Amino acid sequence: MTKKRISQALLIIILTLGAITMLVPFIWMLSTALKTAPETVRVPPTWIPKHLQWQNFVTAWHAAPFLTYFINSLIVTTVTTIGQLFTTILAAFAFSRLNFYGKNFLFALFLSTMMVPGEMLIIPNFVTLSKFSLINTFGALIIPWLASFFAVFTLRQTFNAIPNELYYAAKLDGSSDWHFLWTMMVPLSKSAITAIGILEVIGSWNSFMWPLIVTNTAKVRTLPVGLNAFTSDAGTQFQLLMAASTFVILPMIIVYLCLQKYIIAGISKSGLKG
Amino acid sequence: MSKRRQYNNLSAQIFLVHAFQYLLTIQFTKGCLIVDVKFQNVSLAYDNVNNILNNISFTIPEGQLTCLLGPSGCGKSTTLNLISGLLSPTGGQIFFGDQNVTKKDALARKVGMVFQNYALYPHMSVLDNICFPMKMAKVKKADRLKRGRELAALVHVETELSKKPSELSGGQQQRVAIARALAKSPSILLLDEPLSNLDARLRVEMREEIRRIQKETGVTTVFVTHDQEEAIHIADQIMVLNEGKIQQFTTPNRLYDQPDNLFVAKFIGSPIINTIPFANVRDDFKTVVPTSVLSDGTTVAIRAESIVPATDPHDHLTMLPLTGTQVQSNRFGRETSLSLNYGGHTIIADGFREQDLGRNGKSLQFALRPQGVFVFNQSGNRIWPETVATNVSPLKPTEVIHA
Repeated sequence: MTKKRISQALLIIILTLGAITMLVPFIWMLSTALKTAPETVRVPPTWIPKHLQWQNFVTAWHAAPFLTYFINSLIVTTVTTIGQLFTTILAAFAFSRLNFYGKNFLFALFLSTMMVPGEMLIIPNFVTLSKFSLINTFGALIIPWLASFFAVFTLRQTFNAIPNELYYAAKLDGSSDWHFLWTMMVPLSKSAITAIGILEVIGSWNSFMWPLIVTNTAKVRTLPVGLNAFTSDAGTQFQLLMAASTFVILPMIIVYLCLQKYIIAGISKSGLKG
Repeated sequence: MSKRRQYNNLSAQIFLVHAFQYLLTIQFTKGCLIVDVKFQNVSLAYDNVNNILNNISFTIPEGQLTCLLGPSGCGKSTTLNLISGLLSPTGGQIFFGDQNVTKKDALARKVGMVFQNYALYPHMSVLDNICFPMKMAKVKKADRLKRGRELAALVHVETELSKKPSELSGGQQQRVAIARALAKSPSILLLDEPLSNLDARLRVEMREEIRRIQKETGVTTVFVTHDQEEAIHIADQIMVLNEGKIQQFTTPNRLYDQPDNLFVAKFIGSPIINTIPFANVRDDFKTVVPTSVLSDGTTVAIRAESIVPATDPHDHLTMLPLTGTQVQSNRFGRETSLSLNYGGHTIIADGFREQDLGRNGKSLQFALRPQGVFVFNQSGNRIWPETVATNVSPLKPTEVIHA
């Protein structure tokens, strides 16, 4: 009994430490967003600002065309997520249920792309897109992210868990592969598909490096790139940067809090982390 | 006058019953052609090496319930999948009635199938599950809902229509699966080990249900099982398969009374039939079997209920009372089970009453009844008693007798 209690206590301590580690950056962001410029660099640092500077948020919002960025982010995130889900569902179905020549080889090939670091793809992708004259357009922000093998792999595992008999039964009942996919597989894999979707929404919304490289005007820039406005040769205005960061990540925090059970279900099912 | 009225009443009742049965038949066979299934020299090999089925031919008669019975890996599920069209044979032809369906896919063959795990669509309600094949066939919504309800009533799940499959018991899921299979008015209904996921009591109940539904709809039904008792209770005829070959194809009672070979004799019946090397007991059989059997026989098989006390008034085989040693006796309620040492082997007898039992370790006299004693030759074929060969083709429907 006491042994159980000790291990319980240990577990709680470890989890608490983990939670604090995760939360500190967010708290620091909020606290900095409410400081004056001198207070942000004061040593020793203060956790709670002396006078809360709420006007930082207003100043930050007007410092760059954040409304345009916000709309751009919304467009890019929506289109990439829907597009990626569409390709993922089709590819996962093919790898899970269809028999075609070279299936296993193709799967191994795709699997091996997961070992290529994302940074290595930046230059080839950039070159390709510039040849198509797509640099500084929404196309550049969307097209490279319309397929993700990680998502395909995750969904294939979920599809594989659906019994074959269901597929045979549906075929005998007169259902085509296409119809079976959308009326059986997809509804039955709702939680995995939601998880993949949310991961893509978060990834797309937070994406910084790629939009920074392929865009050069405010017209097509997204929110994370907009945060760059507060960094100049003369230094960084931390209080404004943090205020802007707060409203940039706020939609994602809301999305995560509402749908976290799907994310966790999706990750624990695939046995992989995102 | 009153007699007259009674007579009228009775004939009216008879008329109503007949009319009802007729309507039922019309109702559930509407649009479905009742056909037989013919296999001509069908083979199936995986990777062109392993012959799962080796050149088999048979005819499953129309409108009846036929069991494919055998141990796991004998090819019975493969045979079922060949009928359904989910598998294609590597050789031979398959006919439904006069129609060659060898090249047709599962959908075009219009078969209804019930899977071992039922394969109900988990996210659809019971009614939607039953109506799904009709939805696929583009039946008008009002019509399919009406027929869906009729089918649900046929299988007695009419009160569960809006539930999801996971909210149903195993037996109810089974019923829904059968209703769904019947929804497309199949020419043939296939059931792949449909009872093996149910508990013992439900299994007995459901096998009677399947039989009732089959008789009411009249659809040609093929039922796969590895359970010989289940097969004997449910089937009009049974095809026993082993190692991809048909061992015997006949009615359940003939299978039990006249097994063609040692495999069938051992597979059918519980407790398992006693087998003794014929050489050990040849002298005892001198007076009952012809000399050719005496020389060719290698195994004698005796059913447990055919071993009776020597004093039993039933007819016995014309041989001297046999002598064995009682090893052990047990009584389980109304059954007794007696282990005897005879011909160097321990055999089980359950035809003894308690008062006929002797003492353990002492010798006991017994006799054999004429039914349930068989002699097999080296290759396992029955050579005694001789009867008209039954392994050529199954019986015509009119000859079928069911217990």
